[in-house]
Amino acid sequence: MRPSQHRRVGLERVIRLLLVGLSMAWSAAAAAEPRSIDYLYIEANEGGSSGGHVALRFDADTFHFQQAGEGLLRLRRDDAAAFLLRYTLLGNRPIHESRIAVSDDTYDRLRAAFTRRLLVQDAQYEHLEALEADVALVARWPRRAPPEAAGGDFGAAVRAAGYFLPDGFSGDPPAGDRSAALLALRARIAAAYGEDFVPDRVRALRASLAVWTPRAVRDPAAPLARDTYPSFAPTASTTHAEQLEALTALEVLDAAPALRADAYRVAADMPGLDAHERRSLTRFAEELSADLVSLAASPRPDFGYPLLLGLARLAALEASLTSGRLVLLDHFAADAPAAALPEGGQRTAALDALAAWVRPPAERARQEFFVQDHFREADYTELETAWNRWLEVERARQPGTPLRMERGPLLPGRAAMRREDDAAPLDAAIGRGELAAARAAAAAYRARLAELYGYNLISRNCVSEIFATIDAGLAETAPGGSGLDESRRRLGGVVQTRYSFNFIPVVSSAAVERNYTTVGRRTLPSYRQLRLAQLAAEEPAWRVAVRESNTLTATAYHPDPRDSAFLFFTDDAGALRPLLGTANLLVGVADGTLGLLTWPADAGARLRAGWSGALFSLPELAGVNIRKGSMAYVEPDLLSQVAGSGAAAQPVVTAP
Amino acid sequence: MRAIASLLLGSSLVLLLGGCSISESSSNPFEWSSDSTGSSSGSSSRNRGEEYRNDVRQYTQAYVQSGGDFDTFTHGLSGIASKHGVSNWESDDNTYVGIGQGLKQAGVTTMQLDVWKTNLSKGDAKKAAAIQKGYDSVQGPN
Repeated sequence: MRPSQHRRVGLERVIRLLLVGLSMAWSAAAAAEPRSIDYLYIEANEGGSSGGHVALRFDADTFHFQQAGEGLLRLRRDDAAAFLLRYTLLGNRPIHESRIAVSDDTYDRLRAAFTRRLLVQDAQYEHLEALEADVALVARWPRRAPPEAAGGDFGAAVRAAGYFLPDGFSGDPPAGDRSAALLALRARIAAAYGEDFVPDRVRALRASLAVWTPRAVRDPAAPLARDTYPSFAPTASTTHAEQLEALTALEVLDAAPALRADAYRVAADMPGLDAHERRSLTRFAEELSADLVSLAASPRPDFGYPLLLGLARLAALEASLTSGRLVLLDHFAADAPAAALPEGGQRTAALDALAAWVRPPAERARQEFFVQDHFREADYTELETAWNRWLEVERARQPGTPLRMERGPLLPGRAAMRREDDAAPLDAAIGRGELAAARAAAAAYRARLAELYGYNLISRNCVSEIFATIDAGLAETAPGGSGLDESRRRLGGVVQTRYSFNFIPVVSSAAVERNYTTVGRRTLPSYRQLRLAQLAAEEPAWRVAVRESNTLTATAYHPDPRDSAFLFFTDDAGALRPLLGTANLLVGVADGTLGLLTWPADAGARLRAGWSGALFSLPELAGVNIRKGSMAYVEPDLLSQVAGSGAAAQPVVTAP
Repeated sequence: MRAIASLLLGSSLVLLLGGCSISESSSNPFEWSSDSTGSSSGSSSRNRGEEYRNDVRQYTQAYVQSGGDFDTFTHGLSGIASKHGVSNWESDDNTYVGIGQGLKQAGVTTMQLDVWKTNLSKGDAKKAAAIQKGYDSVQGPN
């Protein structure tokens, strides 16, 4: 190795040690305090958060408020490392953290307050989704008399049915192979509850569905409150879905079909099952089978989906034991959206980085699953989810294969459309009345939610709601007393967002530092800042500065497809910002103008990027930086740094 | 000139104040791949169980204090469980321990607890014991 290379390697080691040392000092400081919570201020970037963002972190959970569409604010709880990945790396934004010292009791109360608010809000929003589903259901429900009769076959999607049945299935048993595991389960249920148990339940459900028609919610919802858990009766769409799921689950149980060929994934390129794993899977299949025997007789109206999913998983376990390889259900819906990936060599780099991110959780999940003595569904879901993501990334390496994404709940729900030939049609006039009532109910409820959670730039935003939740949590500790006094006693002071500029994220961060008992402050650098520091350790500073100053030659920029058009990075431009901003403005205008010509071909993408680019260049002319560029992907070594900073240390899993 | 400066400062102000929250939709696969409880930061089975139990506890306390009925309680439980990767909450002991904890925090008496145990366990002694274990694990009156 040449002397210059020794120097570069040495400098790189110094920087890594520095970063590790800072993290350890931060962690040591934190460990010395009884408890702490972290107030996070995330710097601005273009897009929906041009004013910055804020969050509150409790160890591995980060709470923050986001806009959820239609002008409503919604509380989110994210994994701490995932939050950092999204904002510091992909979002390329520095995060400024203020550590607030609190007692155990204060920590528990505040965390409970945020969790409660999250659960209450989720239930309130889920009711809105149910009411909107009612509108959709009534709108397409068959009518008795034309011309309002719904055209075409009437059907409904049944969750998890897609693992056994094709779209357009009816109640008839599917043709094809049978699953020995499901046949054995059917026999166990017959032995437990009688031979007629399943057929009787099926008959009862069919009879119920044959006369069932949807009815809109007419009673106005009870008053909503942020911390009062709502109690809603199931709506028509919920009841209908549950009945179909229950009926389909029992029909599948009775028919005991094998999994569809496209319903599962095989970890063919990974090591096969060893003897310990085979024994574990055999034990788990037995425990799952016992759970399903109980579930088949459950009086829960929503037993159908977990039963269908359990049947599919039992069949997958059977396939694993038969093949000697891990076989898992495919989590992705048939219409799962595809990720926007870059093209060419950048696509390969993006997939490599993504594989480096998703592979460790998959291997860890496998290790952890087979360490357990008993089958725990949550662990199996984690295994399915982690492996599906990894296998999906590997699959997307094939030319022309999209990378599917599936967000939201972890549970797999490959749906299939069930034909409902026997659905009782609605009288046309009644149908119109129900549809009007369903629309009115959804609109009225949405208005109630807007009263509670409607976004307002000054009085109800991501900052104000953080402090409102803190105040509510502390007020509970002093019934009849003052929340402000409790804030002073427990947090060292008060941060008010009304009648002040504290509703602005950067101002709120300063207010937290000024008023609360903060014991530390640190800044997590953005992706670009981290990469520039790495590059500066390896190359002359002037070369890095010139090359990395613009989007044409920068290596520390993997543009997100949604980024606006710009030429120069101005977050570190200092006095040159107005000049570079002028160039950016011209680029944006030119690109936007060109976009008028390319509109037919690109659906207006260049037009939007151009004029958005011009807009975000305007503050740069005044010396203000907002835009920093976002990343489509980041390098694996930075991913592991993020995974290790901020989140609590995790135990190492060892096999018995 | 003054007008241009005002326009620039005004536009900066509008953009800076223009919404501090990001809408949820994303087509970035990195965000998608980290969108599950604990999978990116290496949450263990024990942690997952604890997180689920904590949510069930909070949910139970909030629900009982809000005065909802039993049928809707179990329905809401399904929603909580699904967010933690559990479709069949009846077969997970953490469900019952969390319920017991939540009932204690909600101030439910031992007599009321027995009613909850009967309704939820449906004669299963193991489930009833888990509820009792959760109830006993929380310090406080009753």
